[in-house]
Amino acid sequence: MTNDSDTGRVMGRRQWLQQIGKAGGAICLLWSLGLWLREKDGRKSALPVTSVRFSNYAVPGMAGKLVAVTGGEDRSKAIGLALQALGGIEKFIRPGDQVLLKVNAAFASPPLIGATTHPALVAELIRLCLKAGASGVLVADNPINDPAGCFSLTGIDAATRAAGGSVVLPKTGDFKPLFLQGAKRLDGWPVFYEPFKKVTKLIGVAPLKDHHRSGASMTMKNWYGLLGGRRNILHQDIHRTIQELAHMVTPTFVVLDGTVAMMQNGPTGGSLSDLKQTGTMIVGTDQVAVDAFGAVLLEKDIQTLGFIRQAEAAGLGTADYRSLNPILIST
Amino acid sequence: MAQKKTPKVGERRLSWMILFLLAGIGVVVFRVQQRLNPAVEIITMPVAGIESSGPRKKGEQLSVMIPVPEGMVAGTPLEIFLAENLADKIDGKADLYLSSGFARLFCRRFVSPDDSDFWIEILVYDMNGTRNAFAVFSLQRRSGAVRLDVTPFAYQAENALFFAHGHYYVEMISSRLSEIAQKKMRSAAEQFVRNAPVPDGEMPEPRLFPETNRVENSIKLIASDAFGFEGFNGIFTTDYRDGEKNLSAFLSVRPTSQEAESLAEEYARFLLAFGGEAIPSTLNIKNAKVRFILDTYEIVFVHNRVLAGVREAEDLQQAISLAELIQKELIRHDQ
Repeated sequence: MTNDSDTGRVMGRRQWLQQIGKAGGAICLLWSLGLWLREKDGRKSALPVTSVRFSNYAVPGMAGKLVAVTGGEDRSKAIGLALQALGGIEKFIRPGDQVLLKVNAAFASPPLIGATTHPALVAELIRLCLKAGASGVLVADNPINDPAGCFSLTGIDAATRAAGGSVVLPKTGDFKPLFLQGAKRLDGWPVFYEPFKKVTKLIGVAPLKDHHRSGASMTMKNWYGLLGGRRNILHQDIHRTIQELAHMVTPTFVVLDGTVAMMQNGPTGGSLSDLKQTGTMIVGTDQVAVDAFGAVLLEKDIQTLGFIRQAEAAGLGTADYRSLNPILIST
Repeated sequence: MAQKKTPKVGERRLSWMILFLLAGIGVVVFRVQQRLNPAVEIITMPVAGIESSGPRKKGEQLSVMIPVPEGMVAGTPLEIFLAENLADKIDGKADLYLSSGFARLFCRRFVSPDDSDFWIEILVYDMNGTRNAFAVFSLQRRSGAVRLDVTPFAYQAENALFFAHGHYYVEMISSRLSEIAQKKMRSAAEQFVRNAPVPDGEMPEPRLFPETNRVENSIKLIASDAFGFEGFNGIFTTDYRDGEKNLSAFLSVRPTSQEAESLAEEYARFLLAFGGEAIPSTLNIKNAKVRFILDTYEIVFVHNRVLAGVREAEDLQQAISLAELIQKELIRHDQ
């Protein structure tokens, strides 16, 4: 028997066990109720069951290619010359290909600020892909705040439509959890997968920018725009995240638009005085090398850009871009 | 009277088992909470609010406070972002604001009724304090911009206008490069200052820096972790050019002289811990500490409640001269 000191009542063992049992039952009941409500409020339905992984969009035999066109302000001309130097767009895009251009449309800002992919570059790439026989060109990004406004105000929407492409705006159901073996940050993270369903070629098109957190925003960081969820928490481990983004996607090629570079106050900028005319269009199939080249234009020490070092260490490319014998074209 | 009885061994064991089980449940719940599924957060993340639903301070009429630039009309509703979703608007730059006391951002885009490609976006950051607003203003200050007299801290770039006004930091960005756009932004800035009266914020530090050789418009306020040292918050810095050499100075008024002294000691130790070398002081400043680190000299000292120092000086004599000049200025302000 036990003594309840508050009431002075004597409690028998059986009674004590009964009370413990009731208390345990009540806890289980509340727990079950919580679980039931959790599923009822729709969150479980937001958790897709099937994980996805991105295909390898690289073209065999084109690994390690790098070209830079310098001296010009005409983006259309520069991208044309760069691709010509790599054997022409036909080396990458075959008739019937469905192409996705992953642009940076993260902010509702005008092209002159240099925070987003320039619409003239988007238009020319669409034109080249269609000329090579692509069956369609999709243009996508996931600017979390007001996607339609971002595509419109950056000029990308109008440029895409005028050139014959289609903009894909993200919707909640377009996201699937990513399967990325060995990834610490991105395995299971929701990604903007819908536009990839029928895509056979992928081209990343990024502006060259300073970035307050990662030091620089270039082609590898550009894939961040494929992430959904509350992705800003990934900034806490930004270098590892960017390295995993490069691991997540193997594109057909990437374009780093260094016609102007945002040298400070990135990634949003806001003032023309944040920009510098660097007059360089970089195109390559090695994202790490392209970004390493871009870092030079941004006057950043590669050693301070952890994501480049990590991506190289992970075998995703080389930070020694000169070792790829880049083709340099001066206009 | 009831007899008090010692629990039996079996009862004790059962009690311990139940407690152990509850503790185990607690651990599991804690671990699950640490691994929130980001896919779930798509549903639960906060979204930008509009004025009707967003938070506001007493007496604050946001739509009135943000002026409509002359001849333009509102192109979007007023949006409000809080710390939880600021990154949705400005992505990676959110950290700069969050580490400086950010409270909320409200913004609105205005368009020309005759030309939809001509617009001006006004972003008002409520930084929860004059110092915080000055911190984000100063850390993003563009070189070569035209100074404006809208507030003591204001400048205009070719396509944009930036200023700090009390606890607000304001950006106005135009989609066009034109004299008309600049004029509209200037006028809107003046209107904002009229619409949003703020109390005079006491910020004595900028006046304490000696003027000799000081680089104009170089005063910055680092809200936290200045120079990589965790203890340094609210540190003002400015640049000096002595002949061909550059160096910088810093100072911060602390609540007590004891705190200032303690911070100075800790910072001097921090520099040693990261490879600095202690140099015997020849300064006419009591307790000044001199360090040689990364090929430059640093001096840190305390004057009453003011923590002050010199950084990144290539020349020791120049560092000493500047430190003594700062000391003289501080004494002058004491009188």
